Amino acid sequence: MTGPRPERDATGLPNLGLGLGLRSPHLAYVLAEWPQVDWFEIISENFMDSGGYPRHALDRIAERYPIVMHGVSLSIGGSDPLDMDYLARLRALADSLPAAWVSDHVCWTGVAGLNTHELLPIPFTEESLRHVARRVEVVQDVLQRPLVLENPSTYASFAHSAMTEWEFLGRLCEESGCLLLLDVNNVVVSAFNHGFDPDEYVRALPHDRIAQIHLAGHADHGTHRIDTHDRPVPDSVWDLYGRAIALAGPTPTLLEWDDRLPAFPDLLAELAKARPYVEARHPATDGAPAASGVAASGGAPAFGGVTAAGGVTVAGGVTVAGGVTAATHG
Amino acid sequence: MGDAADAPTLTDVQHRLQYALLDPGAPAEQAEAMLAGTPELSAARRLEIYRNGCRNRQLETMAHLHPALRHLLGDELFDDFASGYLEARPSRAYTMARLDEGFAGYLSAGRPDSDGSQAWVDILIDLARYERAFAEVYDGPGTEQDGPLTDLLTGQVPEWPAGRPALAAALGERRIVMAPCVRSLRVGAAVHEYHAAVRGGTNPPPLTPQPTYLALWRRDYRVRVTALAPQAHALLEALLGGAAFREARATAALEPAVAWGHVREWSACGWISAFTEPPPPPQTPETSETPATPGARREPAASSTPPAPHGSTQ
Repeated sequence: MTGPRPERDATGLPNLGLGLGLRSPHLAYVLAEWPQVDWFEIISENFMDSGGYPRHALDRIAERYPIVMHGVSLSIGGSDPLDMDYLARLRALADSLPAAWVSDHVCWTGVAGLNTHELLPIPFTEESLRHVARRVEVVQDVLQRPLVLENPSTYASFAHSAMTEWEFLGRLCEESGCLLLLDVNNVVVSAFNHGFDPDEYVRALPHDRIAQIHLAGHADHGTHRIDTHDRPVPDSVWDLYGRAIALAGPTPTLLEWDDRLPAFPDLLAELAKARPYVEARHPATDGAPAASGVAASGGAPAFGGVTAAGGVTVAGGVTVAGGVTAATHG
Repeated sequence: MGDAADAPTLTDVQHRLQYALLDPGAPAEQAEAMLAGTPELSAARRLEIYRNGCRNRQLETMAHLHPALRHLLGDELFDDFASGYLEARPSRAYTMARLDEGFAGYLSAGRPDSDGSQAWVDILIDLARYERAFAEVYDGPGTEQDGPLTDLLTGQVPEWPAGRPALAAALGERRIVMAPCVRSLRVGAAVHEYHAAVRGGTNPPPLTPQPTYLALWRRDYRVRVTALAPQAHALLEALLGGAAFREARATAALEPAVAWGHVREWSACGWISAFTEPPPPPQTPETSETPATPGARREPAASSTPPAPHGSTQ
């Protein structure tokens, strides 16, 4: 809902500001209130075949807000051949909106034609690196736009990995030309689960390749943490976000919230907590108001209640039926 | 970091891991052996986190896709059925919206009464079929963007030309293209009423056997459902199957004027996309490229809203 921002030099993508994941239960609210948010991210698979209300609502929303597509089924690390029909549908959706950019995860989701619908880890080996880099090039050729890849939360790593995750991501960017979606919540979760230093991870990434940042909440189970997207962003994630912004500069930032989805104004209030971190990195020099439409912390606009769209609505990120949604966390 | 000499290939890694994740009875040793455990969290426990996540996410989605069937069965029994289905027919779709595509077929194949004599089994299967159809109609292609249907010759869908046999014969050969959002279902109980009640937050009484003939369609992005008389439903099913009007009417054993009256009514409801002329008779190769003349068509609706500025993505 705000004007165009300067294009970022390094990634070639616009700095869209602060955005929110667009979820089915909030479609009707967005259409009714046109809230002040800089941009929305959709789950690509929700809309690739949709001809009903969700797609109708998205098309109207895309007339007023930049839209970024975030996928969960590309399986860029999978050993099955790339699904060219899927890619064609992805491209068609990206062209029709049009999408500001397209992202997915550094993971695999299934082999032998099956889909586990899980973002599964890959071993960080030279073989994996060559494999993923080759596939990124194919995907970018089909999509005719750079692919942005996210670090997923992981709960297992492979004994035969030959490099760290951050080394893998850096080399992948170098060899394939892809960009990074840095999910700082995922870094915090994976760092706890695997015992690495999240600061070292963020410091070592190629900062000029970071096109977007994700924020989210997670659950602490004592022995491990689970990426849940069902609660506010914890302090540990905000702290790492601040350090990431300091290193990468102003970066489009998106809040993900899928389960136990709160009312839209509450999401805006949570997203607004990102503003001080962005402004601390790049304070306004002339007293002009910030470009972002999201109010600063504590100043989120007060909107009415949320009206669910269409049929049954529950928490989640992936539309599965008449307003019914289920989550695939990334 | 690992020793590359005896490392499994990426393909091996993925097959072993997927096998351990999707088959609850599968031995997990091969998958666990690839994973790096820690004193706090063993490799087996790490694998279990993924296995639980995979299972729970898919069960949750099945529950969201089938709220009425879950209500009818109860959570535990529904999860048993859904788990059995997911294990027997693991997902091949890129979207979880299609996770239940084979659920009704799975239930039907595994029904406990081999002779199909138990009405309650039919009701469970029919409710699963209905909920799948409901989801398809909700998010599938529709006609909201189409213009009004008009007949090629008359400008509107005409009344049945009683007393004009030549014109009646011509109409009889018409093929009626149903809108993509129209579905017909023959079910053994009023599953649509049960589904609506559950979605509305009420606790309906258990379903009782009652043959019911349903049509589902969408208008203004909302799913609509109506019960039809058996003969009207037979007509609808025949038309959805691609029969010409004459054939469909005969299948339904309806008088021409009565059947055509249904067609006019359904046209007004938006169930019909087009009327087409019958296909031309087989032609010689020299003339085979002559296209069939289309009949009545919908015209694209003019947009009432001009494109809005698109922000910074242009």
